[in-house]
Amino acid sequence: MYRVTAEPISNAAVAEFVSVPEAGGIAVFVGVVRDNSGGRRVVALEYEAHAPMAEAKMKEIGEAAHRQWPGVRQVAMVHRVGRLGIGEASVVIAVSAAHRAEAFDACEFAIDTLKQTVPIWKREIFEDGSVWVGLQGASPPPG
Amino acid sequence: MKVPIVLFARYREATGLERLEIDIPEGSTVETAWSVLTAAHPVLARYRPHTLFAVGTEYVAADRPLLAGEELACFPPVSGGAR
Repeated sequence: MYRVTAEPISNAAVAEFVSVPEAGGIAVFVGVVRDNSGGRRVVALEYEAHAPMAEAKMKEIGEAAHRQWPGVRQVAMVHRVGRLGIGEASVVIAVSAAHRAEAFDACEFAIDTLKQTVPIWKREIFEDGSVWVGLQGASPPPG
Repeated sequence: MKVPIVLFARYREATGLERLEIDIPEGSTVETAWSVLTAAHPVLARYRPHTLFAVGTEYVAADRPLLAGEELACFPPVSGGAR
């Protein structure tokens, strides 16, 4: 399951999706909205995706995980878009594997690679403004 | 040929456009499409060194020729984040 969604993500549903009889462990990573960034108070995050491409890239990551860790049984990656409040899950990744080491390693690989290759952008909303994350050096000067 | 362009995130906001269409000679590259795009929307020009391009669901290089019917997506680096 590789999905971009505007709906709240159920951690349990993503974990359940990868649960198969031949797996001995399931690693789940949940990325959540933090209330601060660079010393400023964050009130919300907005995520935007190139959804068809994001889903295709997440599928490629899952396939790469299967190749790299033969014990991996199932991979699920779900990313939220839209405006998210503090503590809400922006991304949930679940990996089941025969043994836990492969589940942990593949799950870490999946989130690290997602952050590098999946076309999703984030805007931090502060009490007094907002900023797109990344590319700060190319931002228009303040004011 | 007419090439549909789709913009995301900062680029969409800067231009106020999510989709637009440009007209470029058949066989033109992505780079040519970007030049035509930024001539019409100079606000994007400064982002060239950071810009990523995609056709369909694949990243493409700036020197790739565009084929009739292809849609070009232009966008900033993805969100990243500290480990």
